[in-house]
Formats: sequence, C-alpha cells, structure tokens
Amino acid sequence: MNYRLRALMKKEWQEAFKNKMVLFGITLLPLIFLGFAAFMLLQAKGLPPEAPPETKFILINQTMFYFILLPLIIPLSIAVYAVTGEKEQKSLEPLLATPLTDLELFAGKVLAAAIPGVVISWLFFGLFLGVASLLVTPDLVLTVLAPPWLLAIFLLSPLVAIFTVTVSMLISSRMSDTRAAYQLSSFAVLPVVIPIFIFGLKEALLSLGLIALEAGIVALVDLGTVILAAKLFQREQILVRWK
Amino acid sequence: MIITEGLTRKFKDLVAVEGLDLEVEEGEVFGFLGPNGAGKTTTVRMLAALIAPTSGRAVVAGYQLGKENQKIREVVGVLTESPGLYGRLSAYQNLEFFARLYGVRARAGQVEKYLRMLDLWDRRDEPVGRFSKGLQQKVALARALIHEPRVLFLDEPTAGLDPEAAKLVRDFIEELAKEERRTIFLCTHNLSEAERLCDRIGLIKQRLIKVGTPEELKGELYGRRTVIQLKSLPPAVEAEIGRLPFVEGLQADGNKLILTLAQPESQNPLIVRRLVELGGEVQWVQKMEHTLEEVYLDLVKEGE
Ligand SMILES: Nc1ncnc2c1ncn2[C@@H]1O[C@H](COP(=O)(O)OP(=O)(O)O)[C@@H](O)[C@H]1O
Ligand SMILES: [Mg+2]
Repeated sequence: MNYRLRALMKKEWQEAFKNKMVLFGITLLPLIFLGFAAFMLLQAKGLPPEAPPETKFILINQTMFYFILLPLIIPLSIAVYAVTGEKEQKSLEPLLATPLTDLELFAGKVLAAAIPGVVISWLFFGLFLGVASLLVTPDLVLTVLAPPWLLAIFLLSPLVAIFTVTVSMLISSRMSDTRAAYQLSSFAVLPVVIPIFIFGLKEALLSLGLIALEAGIVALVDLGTVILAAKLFQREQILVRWK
Repeated sequence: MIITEGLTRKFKDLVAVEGLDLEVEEGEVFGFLGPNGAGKTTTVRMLAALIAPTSGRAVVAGYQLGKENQKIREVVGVLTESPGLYGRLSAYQNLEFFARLYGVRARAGQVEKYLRMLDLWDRRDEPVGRFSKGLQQKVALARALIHEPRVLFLDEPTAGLDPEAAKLVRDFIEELAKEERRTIFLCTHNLSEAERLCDRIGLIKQRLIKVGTPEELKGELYGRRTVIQLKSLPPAVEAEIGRLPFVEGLQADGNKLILTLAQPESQNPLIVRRLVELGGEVQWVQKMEHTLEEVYLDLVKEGE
C-alpha cells in the first residue's frame, strides 16, 4: 500500500475517533446488536422440546441477520463523515492540491470506512461465539459455526460493507448536511439485506447456496456502485460540481 | 517559473478567465490583483493542476500543465481561500498529515520548524478548531509550505482577518519573499497589500488588463505631476504659468498649482524661477503621489 493512501487512512481514523457520531456507530451499536443476537440464541435454547423445529431455525436465522447488519451499519457513519466532514471544513481543496491521486483519495476513503466495519463485525462475532459457548449448548454453538454462517461472516460481510460505503459516499457527495446524509444513506443501504431477512423467516436454516447467491448479487451491485462513486471522486468534479 | 499562453477557463457559458498570457520569474513575488469574481481563484486552481483549462497552455516550475500534473502538484504549494484545516485534529496532526502526503523526508523536523517559525509550537496539540481565524491561517500557511514548494500560491491570504492578524500574516509573507528562490503568486483584492509585497502586479478582470511594477502602473496611467504650494495664488500668476509651452496640464486648487509635466526634473526649476519672477512666494514643491487604488479603479473601469 502506498504512503499517501496510508496517510489518508490514518487521518480518516484520527478524525473518526474524535467524532461522537462515529464512536457511537462503532462501539455502542454493535454492543446492542450483540445483546439482541445473544437474546435470540437464548430464546432458541429455551424452546420446549415439543416446539416445531422451524421456530428454532427462524430464531437462529434472525441471529445471523444481526451479523450481516453490523457491516452494513458500522461503516455508515465513517463513510458519511469522510465526505461531509471534508465539505463542512472546506478541506477538500487543500487535500486535492497535494499529489494524492484521485484513485488514492477514493480508495483511501473507502478502505478507511470499510475496514473498521468488517474488522469490528468480526470482533463482535468472536465475542458472540464466546458469549454463546457460555450460555447455550454445544450443538447450538455448532450451528453458528456452520459453513453458511462462516460464508456470511467472511464473504458477505465485506461485500455488504463496501456497498454501504460506496452508497453513502455517493449520497454524501450530493448533500451538505451530515445528519441528513446519514439518514438518507441508512435508508438507501437497507434493501441490500432484505432478501436475507426474508429467507430467514422461512422454516429452514439459511443454506450455503442462499448466502452464496446473496453474496453474488451484492458483489455485482458493488461493482456498479464502486464505478459510479469512483467517477465522482475526481478533482474537477469535486471542485466544480460538488455542493 | 510560471508561463501561460492563452489560458482560458469557462464554466458552461460563463468565461471565468480568458486568454491569460503571463510570465512569472523565479524568485519573484507576483501580485494577481482583481475584484471579487475576477477569476483569481480559477487561475490558481488551473495553475496548481486542480481544474483543467478549457483552452490554452501553461508551464509551471518547468512542468507542462495537463501532461505533468502530478509533478506540478509535488512542487507547488497552495494556500486556498479558506484555511480548510481539520478542526478536530491538532496543528501538529494537520501538518504531519500533509507532510506524509507530500512524502517529506525528516517529517518531524519540518513540522517542528514551521510550528516554531509561526509561534505555534506551544499550542501544537490543541485542536485547530479552537484557534482564532488568524492562527488558523498561520497553520494553513505552514501546511502550504511543509514540502518547501518552489512555487507558492496564496489565494487572498489576509481576507477576512482582523487588521492585527492580517499584519502578522503579511509580515510572514514578507519574510518568505526574501528567500531567494521562492516564487510567490499572490492573489488579492487588497491594493496596499499588493503594493507592499509584490515585485510586479498583474491586474485581472477576466482578462489580464495590465502588468507592471507598482511604480510603473502608477506612472503609466497618470503621467507625472508636480504640486506647488504658494502663499497666495493670484489668477494672473496662474495664467502666466499656463502660458509656458512645456506645461501640459494645469489645475489650481486653493493656493496650490497642480502641473502635468513630461520632464519634471528639468522643468520644475524653470517653473519655480518664473513664479519667483512673478512675485510668488513658493512654500512647497512636491511630487504628486497616486495611490494604486486610483490606478486600479480606473483600469478596472477601462477594462469593462
Ligand atoms: N465551479 C464554478 N461553477 C461555475 N462558475 C464558477 C465556478 N467557480 C467560479 N465560477 C465563476 O467564475 C468567475 C471567477 O471566479 P473566481 O475565480 O472565484 O474569482 P475570484 O477568485 O477572483 O473572486 C466568477 O464569476 C464565478 O462565479
Ligand atoms: Mg477567489
């Protein structure tokens, strides 16, 4: 990774860690989700033996849903601020006057938001496994460590994070208010996980095939949003067209 | 150090800068003087390879605009219209970030050098968002200098500062100007600032109206005038002086005579002698100074 890209990412993180909205998004929110997920799993454990197996499957599917939501939500505040923060502070022009290339600017911003999103999601998944092994029976923990889950955590999550980041950067480049950009971005990114949510309400555990299908779709959508956003991150565009 | 040929930038139908032909020497402080909306910022943005010209060419620090933009960005420094600092970060962090982006070796030393030079070393760890406008402008100046650029663009460096802060910034620019090889391109709409800091001034209003040293600009428009103050000025004396063949223009203002002369150094003594012959009591003989402001306003009008 080149030094300018690294410098930009470091700066993004220095700024993010001084921003309350971002801090909330990367700490408290995942903690709340972790609570929900553990609660779901406990519910599954507490089901009476005569309960139909579908009920248990739905509860476990919903648990997984939280871990697909995490990479969707964590990078949101970082990505929005990475654009609106620069605009509010009028810091884009001095930044663009440096030898930082357009691509480095774009990649730096994307990575600075997506990496914490993915890493923190994984961290919380690890925490969740720890909590689960204390709370529930080994067979339940094993369902959570099955291939569909692992594919969701290790492949779908990063793809979802990239989607969130590029979409919220696209939206933020058009808006001047951080809060408004954050809200609109939240709505705009949600649809990408709806299929998983709906499949999850069916009476079977989410399969490897379904997760792979979803990952494929998100990857395609990502390709589109990445190209669109990269086009927007050009000096001329930023200085002449951005509001 | 900067050469432009027919540099033009349009925004849709609006022509912001038209056919700019300019040559700025190495080590020179060149003032780019014009009212708001004259195209100063647009010119800086083009020359710093931030936006592309619609037509025309330019060479900056030996690199061709459009072909070697990355090289240009490496060797120029830009102080943008607003400081554009990261308010949550400290002065140190702001400067360090830019030093990294420019790949400055001996980064820490360079950051310290400028923080000390601008008297900010003791406040280096405070978030710059808390600094006064003047201090922020100093940090922004340090940021533009952190990689020791060969060409420094300053876009209205004292606009919006209180007089005291403006003076500090101006003094600092004056110090910078003394460094032999540093070329400074200073945009301003402040005349006295341009007059004080610049070796040459270009007057711009969409097109380049005139270029010259502050003295040349003043002389060129007004010719040279002499003011003579007498104890009293009877109309007959005034008429007599007006009859002298070399007097190109004559105005009376109370007890003062204002004369336009082609060669005041040789003609002033003749006039004084004639006045004494006519019984006039000469109290003062002065060169009439024009402020650059008059020149500027006239030229800007002329350009319309
Ligand atoms: N991004 C832009 N889009 C449209 N018009 C612009 C843009 N930037 C500058 N202009 C116009 O170009 C002209 C010159 O502007 P500018 O270079 O900022 O002047 P100055 O810096 O001398 O005040 C103005 O009329 C301004 O409105
Ligand atoms: Mg301007």
